[in-house]
Amino acid sequence: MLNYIRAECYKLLHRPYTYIALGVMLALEALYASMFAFHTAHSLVTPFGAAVVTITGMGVIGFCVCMLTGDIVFAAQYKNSTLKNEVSFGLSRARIYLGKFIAQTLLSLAYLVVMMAFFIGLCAAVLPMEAGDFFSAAEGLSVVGYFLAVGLPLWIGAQAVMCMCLFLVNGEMASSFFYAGVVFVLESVLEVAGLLLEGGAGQMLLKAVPYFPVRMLNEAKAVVGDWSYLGQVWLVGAFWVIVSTAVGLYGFYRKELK
Amino acid sequence: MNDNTAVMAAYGLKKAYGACMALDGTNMQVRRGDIYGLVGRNGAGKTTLMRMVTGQSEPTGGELELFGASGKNMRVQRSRTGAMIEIPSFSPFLTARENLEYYRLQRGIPGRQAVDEVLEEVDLAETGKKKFKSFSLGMKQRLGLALALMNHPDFLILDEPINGLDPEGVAEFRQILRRLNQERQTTILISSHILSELSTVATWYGFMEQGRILEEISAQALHDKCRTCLRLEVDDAAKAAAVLQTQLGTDKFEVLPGNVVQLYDCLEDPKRASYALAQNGVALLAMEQKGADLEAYFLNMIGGGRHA
Repeated sequence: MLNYIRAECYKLLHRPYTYIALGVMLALEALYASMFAFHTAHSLVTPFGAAVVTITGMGVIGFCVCMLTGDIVFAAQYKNSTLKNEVSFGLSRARIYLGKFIAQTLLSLAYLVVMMAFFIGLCAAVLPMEAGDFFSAAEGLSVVGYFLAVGLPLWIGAQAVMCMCLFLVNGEMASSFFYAGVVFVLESVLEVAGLLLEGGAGQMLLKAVPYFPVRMLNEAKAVVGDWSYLGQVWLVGAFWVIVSTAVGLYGFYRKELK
Repeated sequence: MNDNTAVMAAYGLKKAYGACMALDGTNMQVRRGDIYGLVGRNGAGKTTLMRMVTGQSEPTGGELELFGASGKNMRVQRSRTGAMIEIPSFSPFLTARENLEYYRLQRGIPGRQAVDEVLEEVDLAETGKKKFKSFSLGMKQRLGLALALMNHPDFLILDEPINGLDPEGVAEFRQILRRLNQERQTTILISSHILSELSTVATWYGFMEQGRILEEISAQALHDKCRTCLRLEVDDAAKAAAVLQTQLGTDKFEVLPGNVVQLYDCLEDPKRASYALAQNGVALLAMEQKGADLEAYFLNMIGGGRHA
């Protein structure tokens, strides 16, 4: 497995897409931070603590990054027919699947670290630390820390969903749509269906809705510092990883490579 | 060179795609040290068979063995093989060296020099920063072969490997196969539409049609079968044999059932044989010159008409 992950990392480091995607995201972050700097210079002073806390409203970007990193690592292996090179050497499909999932997760974590460090560093460099009536730097960072602790298992769960989609659905575009359907749309569909359906089935659907990753991450803003919620979120993240991986592996084992 | 140990064997192997039987009870055996030429027209099942050996596809019936292992145990044995099935496929955004380095790391092959050596072997060492997506078909084929060779396989599986190679490339490729077979005792399973080319390397043939192996035959036996000869149909084969020995002084003939004698002599002057037989009271009922190359043999076997 270690060899497989090393190989995936080698491929990632030699792929321009890896750097271009990160570059674009950092540029957007720079633009976002410069917006605060502009306001601070001209009218509304936004201190460091208040600026970094706004990240908690952008958790959905983490789910989009999962889509991006999944695509970067998978590298259109069905389209390029490169999986046959791995299977024909006798690598087990489980190793291939899990290797790609781990590589995707590692890349996402690397992106997360770089993006957070860049944004916080940039805010620290261009924004005033004096808080006034706003969050102090320490308060702001503690909110961000809690948000990341909640977001991490949910993003990893979403990464597992993306990995499943890439292995089950041929074509990156179709995989991305499938992923977006599961992560962003399915919860609303279930909610509407739950309201329309009467009896136990409807209740069951409504009970499932709060455990969708996007919804759980959005809830986190209201419960900052709640450790039981944090524990619950890690369990839900683990559930998404286990279920998606089981379904993805089952499908991949049955798939004919062309 | 071969020692009768089967490197790969199929027993009643079946593969169905809906109602279509891509493989319909295929039986075959590739013995250690052979260069096994798989001959068949498009859709005969050659690629399907190779895809099963390499684990890309699962059989719907029958049994497949690789180095004596079958079922799930076969997967481990695949690390002793090298394969190039259909069009060589690599990451388009990587160079030849980067692509091979990726697979070297993935397969745990020690030493970066393994990549340089194999690139040298297939004459791709000088491709520099050119990405795979810009390669010609011939270069892609060479890189596919390089990957197949990188782990020094005991068994090489090649599906139409010379497609897209220029004449020089074909000659080099032939040399590589011979060298691997002779120096490293690599067993090779190879399919090709270019039967004349296949006949220059294969030591054993399997003729495939409609998902079945019609015949497996050694190159020597095929050569004997395809030898040019005079087919003499006579009234008394024993007497004819004696005449050929005494009057023409030759023993290059075979007596076949049905009073048929196949004469491998007098091909330039068949009249000599007919005179000798007639003068010695042997009635010559029919005489024809026979002989075939691999292509003609195959076409004759499957009923002719279409190309392999």
